[in-house]
Amino acid sequence: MTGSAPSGPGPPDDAPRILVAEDEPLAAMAIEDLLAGAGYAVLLAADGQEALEIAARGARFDLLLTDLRMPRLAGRELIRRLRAARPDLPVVVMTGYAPPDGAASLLRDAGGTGPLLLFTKPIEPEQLLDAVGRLAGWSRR
Amino acid sequence: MSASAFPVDSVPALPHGSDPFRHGDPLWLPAGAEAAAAAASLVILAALVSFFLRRREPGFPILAALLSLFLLSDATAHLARLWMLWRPDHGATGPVATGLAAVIGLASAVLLRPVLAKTLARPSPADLAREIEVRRAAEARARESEARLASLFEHMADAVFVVGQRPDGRFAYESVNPAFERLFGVGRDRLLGQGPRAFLDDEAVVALIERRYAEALAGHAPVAYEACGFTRAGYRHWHTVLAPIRDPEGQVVRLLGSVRDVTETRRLQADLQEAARLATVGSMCAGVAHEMSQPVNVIALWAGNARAALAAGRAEPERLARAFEVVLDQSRRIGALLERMRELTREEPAGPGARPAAPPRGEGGARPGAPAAEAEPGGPFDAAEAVAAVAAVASRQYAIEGTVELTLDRPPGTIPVQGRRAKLEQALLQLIANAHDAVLERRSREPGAPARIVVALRADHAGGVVAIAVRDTGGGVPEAVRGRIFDPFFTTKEPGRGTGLGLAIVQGVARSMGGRLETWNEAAGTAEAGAVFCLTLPLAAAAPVRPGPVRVGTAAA
Repeated sequence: MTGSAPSGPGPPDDAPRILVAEDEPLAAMAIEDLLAGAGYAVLLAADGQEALEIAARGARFDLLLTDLRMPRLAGRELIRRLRAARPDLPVVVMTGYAPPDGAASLLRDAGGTGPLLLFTKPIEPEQLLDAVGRLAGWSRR
Repeated sequence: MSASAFPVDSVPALPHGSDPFRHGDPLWLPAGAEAAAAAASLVILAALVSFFLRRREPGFPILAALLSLFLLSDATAHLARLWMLWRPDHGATGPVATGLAAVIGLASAVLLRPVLAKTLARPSPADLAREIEVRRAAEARARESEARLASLFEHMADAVFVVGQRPDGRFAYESVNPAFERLFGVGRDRLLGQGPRAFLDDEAVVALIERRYAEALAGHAPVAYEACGFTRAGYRHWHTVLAPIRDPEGQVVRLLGSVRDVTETRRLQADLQEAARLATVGSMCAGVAHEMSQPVNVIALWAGNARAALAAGRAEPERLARAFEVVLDQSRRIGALLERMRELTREEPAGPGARPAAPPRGEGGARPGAPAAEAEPGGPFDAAEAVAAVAAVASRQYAIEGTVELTLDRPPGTIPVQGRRAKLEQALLQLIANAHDAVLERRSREPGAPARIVVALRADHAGGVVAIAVRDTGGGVPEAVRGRIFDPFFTTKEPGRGTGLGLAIVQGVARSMGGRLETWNEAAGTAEAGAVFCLTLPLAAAAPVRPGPVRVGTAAA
């Protein structure tokens, strides 16, 4: 299994693009499969720092899907920095250990105006796809 | 009596040489003088006697007797002369009396000197008065100090009591201070003459206290104890020190006790322990949640994807096989984590026989369902060989990776310890892996930092211990986390890299072998800065595993 789409031709150029920051390679691969299978284009980053670098290179993406605990740059700080440049960026958070107050402190730290959803691992693929589907078009409206 | 009756030379012995007839002086003049002198002596004698009778000072009676004797003899002489004035013809009576008086007077004068010296040697009334003054001042001071002591006793914050043992063996309080009354909620009137039952209902606590009293009386030494229970003033926890009081014969028949109320302190300590326990449980749950969520998440995602592919009819056999592989791998990862958790809950004591039968357990825990090895206490084995084997494996591995240089510093010969060799190797591997991680972590921040690990083995055969130290150049353990690094599920590593169980397990191994795990930093602030994790284990008594080379003196640390 590689970083490309599982089978057939790649997603169309106008497909919504998802930036995925996840330090667990097996989880990242599965999420990439899941999203690509649903017709999204996926940008994979092994941690927050890499995600920030992808964004800095000017890559276009419509939604950030990120873990919280990651080496080098944690999810919370990644969201804050991306939102500083793009306040309406939609964000979906996946974490193994949710903050005690749920998404409230995340929303506060993130800043910006875009929607933010919190998922606790293990992730239910259908719920994740549903959330991504609802938020991916947000910044295009 | 007529003037012619006096012969001219009949009184040759007359001391004063006055001859009334020869000079024709009237007779009444010498007679009056003699009578007056005799009367004066007698009056002085009477005054002296009356004085000495009233002031019976020591030494004075002899002096008074001598002076009285002298005055008496003087008066006698005068009276004798008076007699002779009127009866000059009376023969020897007058002169004999006079002579006798003179002899007595002389004798008393001679005796007076030593008696006077002796009397003078005694303290004078002035001396006595001074001494009395000094004694009065001392008494006043003593009274003052006694009053101060009494006031101290009354106002001391600590409860103080004196308890004695009756001939029938019962204990009875002889005095208690107000702090004692307040602490136990009983007045002095109901305590004095009574034992601990006066303020305690719980017979077990009373028995404990009386045992301590008896111990202090019998042992003739201070005894300290803590007790708690419901008193007349409510629940109390108190700390008592008993000191034996000796009577002049050296017998201990009563005790001085001081009691400190530690109710609040103990309550706070209990609260603190409970809070620490809850915090540990909390951090354990957080750690478990985080560690478990990663593999469970991967399983859920891969299984979900595989199911979706099957449902869509685009399932490829290799992709399905890969998905199953991932699911199985992640299950093993969870299994290993569970095994390490189980390991934590088993801290078997050292030595054969001391441990109750343990259920079978996995060895190493890498594979779920692997054959379980019996958790036997193990026999003696050579720690030096085990350490050398582990160091060799790790050293080879790191040399291939080109990450860290690992060296072993060990004395020649065997070092027998008691326990299970596999456990010690596992513990040592964990310490080396931690050191390796610390070195790499530091080098990611300071690429030029030294990358060395030294495994040092030192045996103190006289002290009966062996120390196995792993020293790294990873910068050392930060002060802020030092107190927590042995806590289960505490980790400083990146997410997914540490379970937080490693050091807790190493500590468990150390304890199971009757040893301990300690850590400290070395060379802080220099390039060589790093941590030392030191396992100290007791040596097995004699009977080494196998004959080794003859030991040389360099072995002792």
